[in-house]
Amino acid sequence: MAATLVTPTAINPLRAGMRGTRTIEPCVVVVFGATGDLTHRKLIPALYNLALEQPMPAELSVVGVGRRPLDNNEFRQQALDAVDKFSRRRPVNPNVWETFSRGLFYCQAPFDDPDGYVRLKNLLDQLDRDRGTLGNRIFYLSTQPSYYPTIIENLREADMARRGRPPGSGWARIVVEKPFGHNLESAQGLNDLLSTAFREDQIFRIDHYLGKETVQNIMVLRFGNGVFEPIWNRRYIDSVQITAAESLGIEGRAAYYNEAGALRDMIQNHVMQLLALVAMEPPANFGADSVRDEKVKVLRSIPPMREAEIVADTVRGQYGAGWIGGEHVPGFVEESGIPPTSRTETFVALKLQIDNWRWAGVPFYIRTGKRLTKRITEVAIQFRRPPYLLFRDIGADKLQSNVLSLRIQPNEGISLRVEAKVPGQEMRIRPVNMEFFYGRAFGVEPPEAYERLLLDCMYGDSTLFTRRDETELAWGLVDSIAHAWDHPPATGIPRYEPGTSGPREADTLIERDERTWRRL
Amino acid sequence: MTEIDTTIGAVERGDYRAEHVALADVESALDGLWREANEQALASTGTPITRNTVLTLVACASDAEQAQAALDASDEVTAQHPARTIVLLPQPSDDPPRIETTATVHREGSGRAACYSEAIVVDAFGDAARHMPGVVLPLVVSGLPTFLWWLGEPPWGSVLLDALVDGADRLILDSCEFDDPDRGLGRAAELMRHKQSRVALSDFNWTRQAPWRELVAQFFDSANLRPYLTSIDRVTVEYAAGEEEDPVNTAQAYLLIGWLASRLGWSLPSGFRRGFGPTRQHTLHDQNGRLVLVEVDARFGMRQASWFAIEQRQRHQRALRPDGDPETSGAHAALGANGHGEASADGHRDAPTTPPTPPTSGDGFGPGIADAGEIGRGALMSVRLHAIADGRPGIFIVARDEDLAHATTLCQAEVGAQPPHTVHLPTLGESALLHSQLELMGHDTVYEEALDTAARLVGHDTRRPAY
Repeated sequence: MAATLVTPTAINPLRAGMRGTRTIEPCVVVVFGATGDLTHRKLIPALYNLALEQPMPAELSVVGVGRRPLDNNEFRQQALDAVDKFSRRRPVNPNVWETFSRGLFYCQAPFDDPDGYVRLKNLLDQLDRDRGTLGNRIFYLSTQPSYYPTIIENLREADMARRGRPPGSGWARIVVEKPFGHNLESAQGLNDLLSTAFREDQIFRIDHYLGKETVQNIMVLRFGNGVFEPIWNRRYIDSVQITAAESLGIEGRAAYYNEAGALRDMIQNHVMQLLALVAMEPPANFGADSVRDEKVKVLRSIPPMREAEIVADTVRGQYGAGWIGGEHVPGFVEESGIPPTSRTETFVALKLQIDNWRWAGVPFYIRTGKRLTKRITEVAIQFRRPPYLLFRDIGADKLQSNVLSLRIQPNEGISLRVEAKVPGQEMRIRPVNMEFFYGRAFGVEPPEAYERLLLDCMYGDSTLFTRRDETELAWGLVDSIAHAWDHPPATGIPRYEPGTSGPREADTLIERDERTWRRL
Repeated sequence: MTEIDTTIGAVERGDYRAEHVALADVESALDGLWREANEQALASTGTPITRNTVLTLVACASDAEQAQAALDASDEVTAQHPARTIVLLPQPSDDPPRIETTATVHREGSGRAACYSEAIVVDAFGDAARHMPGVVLPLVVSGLPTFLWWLGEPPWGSVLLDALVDGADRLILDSCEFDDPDRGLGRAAELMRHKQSRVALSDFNWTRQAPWRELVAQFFDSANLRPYLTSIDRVTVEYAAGEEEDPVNTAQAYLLIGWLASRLGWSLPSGFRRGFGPTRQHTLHDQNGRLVLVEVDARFGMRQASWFAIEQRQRHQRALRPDGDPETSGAHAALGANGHGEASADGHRDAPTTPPTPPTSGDGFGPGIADAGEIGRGALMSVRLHAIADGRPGIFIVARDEDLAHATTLCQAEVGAQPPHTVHLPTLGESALLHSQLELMGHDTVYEEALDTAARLVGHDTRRPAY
């Protein structure tokens, strides 16, 4: 009935100059795995925060799909509890919650039951009529990855994926959480299956690192400033270190983590994304494909590692039992759910090369691990040392090179280490940091990564999501390493003590090149 | 020189102050205060402080209370905008001319997280009050942006205003404080036109009103409802007013109408007549030449108060609230989870004792606000749009809730429902408003076009070279 009035007017003129200049079309967010941890901790609070801080359209509706028998009111109560517990905007504003919660619905359906999808479809059609959602849907896969194929197939069979729909008749998008496959083959399989139901531009592979302000700021820092880009190459940069360290252990994710390990859990997605953003060429524009084309070029420029290189340039480790923060913690193989013979790595250090004109000869040192000294994610650009001649007489060997460090978490910000003269009669030199902290400079809390990514998905902007080729290229690299590690199967794995910066072998890897890891 | 330490809420702050400083000695007095602050920081934390200035804020006050409000606001934004603030308090009289200055170095926060800014208060007596520009301009830090904040309605057309505006990059006004908002909007638009692109204008009242514009815009994000936007035939904007005999402030109402009209390309017909009194009607033409009836209505009987008085009472209430939840105690809302508190986990630095607090909206939405039952002068109460697209009517309403602290949307259109949507309307304090103006670089053309239209609606032909 609404069809006659719909005209393809592209923009809302009242949006000019507003913080959200882009227009969000009304839509329904369909969350598979409605009672799961991710839904409660991240998705529901993010949706509520967006409603509270306004950019959300009034029509926005949320349908939770799950196996448990709940009615709408029980689902709303669960959602309220989740917001009360996990939102960064607590306590709940009762007035805003009142209208927001009226848009929450529950649909009980086992993920493999075609009838459930019929019920879901009817509910969505009903919402289009009652709440003006215009046939637009976002399907969010927030379940165990093993359910992904079933859900995708059922969405296709129930004609909800709308692969071939003409524009203007309602769109469908699908958000896929990590892990995206467990190796190249399974990732390709999942991609093939997705492409039977959805076009690539309908698929949003989420990597929540890309939703972090500091990660997005890498592009602004590099391309929005005149001083960095001219020196952002092999001529001025000595090396790059990327660190993603955690002090926590596996925190109840034993089954998944034992299967995946640090290489697949962190390197394949988050770390490779950081690396690509730091190393890519300037994109033609900030459009989704321009940016991702450049990232893909970086990934393609990383030559596959030969076996000898894997032996020399990769280190894995597993945390043993020990003490962290004055508390005794079990070793990885003593964690509940981990077989005592497990050789899964909880720490990885790598040295990668990017073989292109910008980066040839600049090593990228990467390390990630659990139960390390502290939680910190950062990218450190180490510049070449200046000639020492002038300062030789005053202990020039102590002169340190400049380091630009981009802190992703915590204490989001940027710091540049420069050498400065200590005030006084003598010529003494000491490094000082010029720092910029997000919270302090802008006086606002950066929004949660999930808020940003959900909004982008509603806008239909996939710049901050990973494209099929990115995922598969990163898997190719990770697979080559994993394959070499397993052939012949390792008889042991270096252990490291909790609360340290990883196994000794990792130090050897970098010290061989006369460099050292940054202190965690 | 004296040092005064205070603790407000959880933020520790302190001032190093030198009073009765001769104008010529201001810079050296400030140098001395910075040295003193530095020595004390070295003694307590072992780290020297940085003298850091990113802008000059010139605040022009007409009484001591306004001057103090300006100082307080600039103190609170220290962490985000370490500035030199120059507060002018002209007190013209027949006394002999005399200038008195007080120099202050302000510390916001404590320990290694402390931030510092500096302020100069200039009291000008007698004839000296009429010659302020020569006093101020040498104190402005060269090479940095200069913001001129006028508290209350400026003396339109005066030499003082003209000279200070010429030295500024942005003029910050607050049209809810205008004695005569019709005249004020008109003269502000005139000034803007006269100064062309040299100075940008902004208005606290425009920032306060942002959630309303957002809600009105939101109706038409739906492609289904967007056709209504080009077929609006009636707009009614209702604003809060006190008793019928009290003066009204229509600035918010006219800014909203000015915004709609300028965004949608409505024009004033020739022979347009301004309205008078608290309730007015205007007729405009939309882009297709159809008539748009615009009504400005006063809702009488509201308990009106100054926006700032309300904000201060709310802030006070939140500070007193026993649960002490940082999310409800407003000023700290934005800080909680963003990592300052975790600085010790970083290890690069020591843990700050008290992090400086960024200015935020009064975000508490407790019953305290409803109990007070007070509302800011001239606050919007409702916006109602009526449109007919393809012969089908649509009504779009944004109305303030009974608790006065929220607004809810209502949409009745034949082509498609839009469920109601409630948002919180924060009462922004001076520091939060100031913070948002200091972030603006360059012209806010949407505001400037809205102001220009609003000025013509209240009867000022800004094209007239009257200034």
